[in-house]
Amino acid sequence: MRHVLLIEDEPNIIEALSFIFLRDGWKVDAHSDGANAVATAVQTAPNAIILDVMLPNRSGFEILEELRSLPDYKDIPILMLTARGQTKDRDIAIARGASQYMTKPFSNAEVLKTMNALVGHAP
Amino acid sequence: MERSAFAGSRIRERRVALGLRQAEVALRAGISGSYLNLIEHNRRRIGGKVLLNIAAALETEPGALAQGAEKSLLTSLRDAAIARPDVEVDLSQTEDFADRFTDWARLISAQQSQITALQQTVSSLSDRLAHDPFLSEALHEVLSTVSAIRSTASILAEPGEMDQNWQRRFQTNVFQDSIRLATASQSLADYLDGDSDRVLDTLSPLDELDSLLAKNGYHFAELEDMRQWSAPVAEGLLAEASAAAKTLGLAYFRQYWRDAQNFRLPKLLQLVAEFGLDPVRIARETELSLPLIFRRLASLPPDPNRPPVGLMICDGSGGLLFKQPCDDFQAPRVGSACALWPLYGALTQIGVAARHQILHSGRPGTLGEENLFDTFSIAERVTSASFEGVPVLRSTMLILRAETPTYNQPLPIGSTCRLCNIDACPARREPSIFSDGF
Repeated sequence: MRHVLLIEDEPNIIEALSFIFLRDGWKVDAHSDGANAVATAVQTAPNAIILDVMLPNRSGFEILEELRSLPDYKDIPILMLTARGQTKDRDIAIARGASQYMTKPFSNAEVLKTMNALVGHAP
Repeated sequence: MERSAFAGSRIRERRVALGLRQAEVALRAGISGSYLNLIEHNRRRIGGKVLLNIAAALETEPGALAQGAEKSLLTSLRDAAIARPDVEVDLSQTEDFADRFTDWARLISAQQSQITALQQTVSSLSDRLAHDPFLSEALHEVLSTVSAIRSTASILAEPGEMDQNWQRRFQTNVFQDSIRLATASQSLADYLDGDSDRVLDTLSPLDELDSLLAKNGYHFAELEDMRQWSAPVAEGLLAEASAAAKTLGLAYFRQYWRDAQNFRLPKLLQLVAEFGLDPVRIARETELSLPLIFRRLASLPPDPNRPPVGLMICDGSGGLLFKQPCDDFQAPRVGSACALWPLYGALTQIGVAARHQILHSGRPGTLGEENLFDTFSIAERVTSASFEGVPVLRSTMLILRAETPTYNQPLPIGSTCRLCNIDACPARREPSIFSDGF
């Protein structure tokens, strides 16, 4: 089953994304604090992650780096979703192992399409 | 002279087109920066001598400001040509071009005004965006809220039926986020617009003090005339300041008053009339310390016939303690200044005065001659010599606009790496937005 973990501190973004992913047949978990995000990822064992860069208590880049250091998460699809659109931030994300990078504001359809493509799900 | 209700907008337009800051125009016109700000926002009507002085400061006719006439098309076209020295234009054909292709000429003029305004905005915003934690956070708040609204609204806009509970939930979310967005946008707009009543809440105490001092033209007649130190008088000057800015302000005013006691204003004005803004000759005449003389020169009362004076002071770590600009020679709003400033070089030789002629990189497109400055720097120990502890150092740099090149090779410097277009600088810390983009 397709299972996504949303690591995002905006509750209404979590709600909107949860709605569209649930409707598309995904299982959805959410976590809104940077501090325990990696532990939550390990606990929930998703097969895809959407990760914001600017989170309370820990940056998304650090979380990404730590996830990629874990054997079970070095290849998991991770989409970085963020308001920081500078080129250098995209380069940092890709360098640290993000599968894809998307800037806010985003299109729901694009996010869903991207995640389905990353987990290899045919439309 | 007819009083115009909208002269302020035309004054602002002309000032921006010339790439001048409010403080400079205000000084040239003999008025305070805060008064000019009110005029430019059409909150004060002007006429008579004030309009004449402002027109002179902006190198235009009073009628062009007062009567709603378009700014000189020919001047604007020449400005556009000068701003792009890489594009060869025969300036002798300017009038002919304007006559034959008036609409195209007006288009070029309008675009040049817009380019100048945008360049100033970019410089200012980039500096802030790179280093200003409030701005970075505020923009993140705006973008995140917009994302939430977009995401939620696109679900609500989908055709077909939706569960009523979800629909109600999403409608509430959009409503709440729209309020957040309005608040965040207003806060950001106020901050960028420099609305002092609200922006002062978001400035650091040092920035807040800088802003208050700049509004008064760095001169305080109340302190000049004060024979004995009076804290209530000084506190009165800081009535609008936050508690933290008041603390800094009182220390600044205490030093200002001490300086005024040691070098009284009448004597200072007399020596300036005799020697000009020459700290070396004034030092020889008075035998006062150079840092004191620098501070007194920077606190002279505004005079449209006198060139502007800037002053920068830093501590031993290089942290700027005082930032009084001289035209385009300004300290960055946040973040570190250019490491090549003589202000910092002075810290390597305590007590040794240094004079430099510098070429400030300024904005792209400005003529080099307009960015020539003379600087006078000296660093001193501000605590008593002791075998214990670390000495507290302070470096002071006086900045004057240079009328003619004196030295063969003026020292090229910028304000901060991000906004500097000097290539291959050995002191560059980070790429420039002008060469490397955002």
